[in-house]
Amino acid sequence: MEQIEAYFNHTLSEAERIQFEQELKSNPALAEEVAFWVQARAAAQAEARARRKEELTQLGQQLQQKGRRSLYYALSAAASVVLCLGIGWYVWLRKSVGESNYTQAWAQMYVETNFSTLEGLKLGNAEADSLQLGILSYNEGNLQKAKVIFEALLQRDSTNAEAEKNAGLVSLRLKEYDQAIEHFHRLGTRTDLVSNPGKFYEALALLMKNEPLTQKSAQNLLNEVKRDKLEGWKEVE
Amino acid sequence: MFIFNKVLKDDALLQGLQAGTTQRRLYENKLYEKYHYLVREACYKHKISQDDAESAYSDAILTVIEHVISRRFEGRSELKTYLTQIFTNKCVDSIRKNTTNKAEVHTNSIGLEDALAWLPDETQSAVRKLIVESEIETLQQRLRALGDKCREMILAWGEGYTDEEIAQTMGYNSAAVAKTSRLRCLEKLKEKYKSSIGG
Repeated sequence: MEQIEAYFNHTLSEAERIQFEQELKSNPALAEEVAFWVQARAAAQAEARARRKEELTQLGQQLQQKGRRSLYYALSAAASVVLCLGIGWYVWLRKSVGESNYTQAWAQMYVETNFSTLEGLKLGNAEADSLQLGILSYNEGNLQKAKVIFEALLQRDSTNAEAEKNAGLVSLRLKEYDQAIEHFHRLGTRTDLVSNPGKFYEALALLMKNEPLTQKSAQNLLNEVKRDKLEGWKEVE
Repeated sequence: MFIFNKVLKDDALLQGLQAGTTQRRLYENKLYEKYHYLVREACYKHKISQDDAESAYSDAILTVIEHVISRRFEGRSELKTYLTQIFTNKCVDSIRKNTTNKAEVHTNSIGLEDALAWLPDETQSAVRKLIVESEIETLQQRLRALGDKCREMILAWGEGYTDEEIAQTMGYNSAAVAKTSRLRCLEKLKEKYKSSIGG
C-alpha cells in the first residue's frame, strides 16, 4: 500500500517507478491493490467533501440567522430612536405651550366675551343686506342660518373680507375649528385691508382646537401679532 | 485568536489555506464567510431557492479550496472572480438538475480520473477494469462503519491533509507514525470492503 501511495504521490525514483509499472502489468494482485487504493481515495474524498459541505451549509445558516438578527437589532434601534425623539418633541411641545398664558380657557373666555353678538354695517346695497341678514341670524343665535348666508356671500364674492371674518366667527362658535382656521388664515394673508384681525382670530381658533401642534402655532401667531402690532396686539400684551 | 473575528484579505486567506497548518479549517470558514453574500445575489440573479444557492455555494467554496491547495488556482485572476465563475457554474448545474434531472456538468475535480490518468495506458485499462464506480458508494458506507479515529484519519487524507498535518491535528508524535496508522486504517477498510463483497 505504501508503494502504491508513493507512486501516486510521485515520490518514487525513476527506476522505482518503471519497476512498479512493469510489475503492475504482470501482477494481477498488485493491479487489484491499485484499484482498491484509487477507489478508497475517491471514496474518502467524496465522503470528506460531503461532510465538509454539510458543515459549511450549517455555517451558512448561522450567518443567515446572524444577518436577520442584525437587521432586527438595527430596525429596533432605529424605531427606539424615532420613538425617543417623538416623545421628546411631544414633551417639549407640551412644556413650551404649557408655559404660555394664552390657553384654550383664555381663548374661550375671549370668544364668549367678545363674539356673542356681531356689529352690523350700515351700507345700502344687496351685499350689505345679506351681510346684515347673516349678522341678525348670528345675533339671534341662529348660527347655522348665519353660516349659510356668510358662505353664500363668499361664494358670490370671495374678496368680501367682512363675510370671511363673520364666516370664521360663526364656525368658531359652532366649534368647527378647522373651517374657522381656514377662513381666518385667508383673511390674515390679505394685505389690502386697513384693519385685519385675521392672524389674531386664527390664533384664537387654534387655541380653541387645543392640540399640541395647534397650540404651538397659536403661540407663534400671537407672538407675530404682538411683534408687528397687528390688530388684537393689545389683547396679548 | 482575535484575527478570526475580522474579514481577512484574499492574500491572507490564500496563504492560510496553503500554509499546511492545523488552522486551515479556520481559513476555509473565513473564505466561506467573506463571500457568503454571493448566495443572496445568486437567488436574485438565477431565480433559485435559498437552499439550492447555499448548496451550490458550499460546493463552489470546496472546489476553490481544492484548487488553491493543489495550486491549480495560480492567482491569475482575483479570488472573488474565480469563485464567482465556479459558483455560477454550480448554480447552472442546480437549475439544470431541477428542470431536467440531468446530472451536473461541472463535476468535481476529485475522483478516479485524476489518479487513473497517472497510470501508463496499458496498465490503466487493466486497473480500470477492476474498478466499478458504484463500489465507491459501498466503500463510503464501510468507511462510515470504521472506528472514529480511523474514519477521521481517512477523511482527513481524503480532504488532502498531509501526514504532517494529520499528526498535528490528531496528536501523533510524527508524520511517519500518522502515516503508519493511516495505512493500517486503509487495510482495515479493505478487509471490511472485501468481506462485504465476498472477496
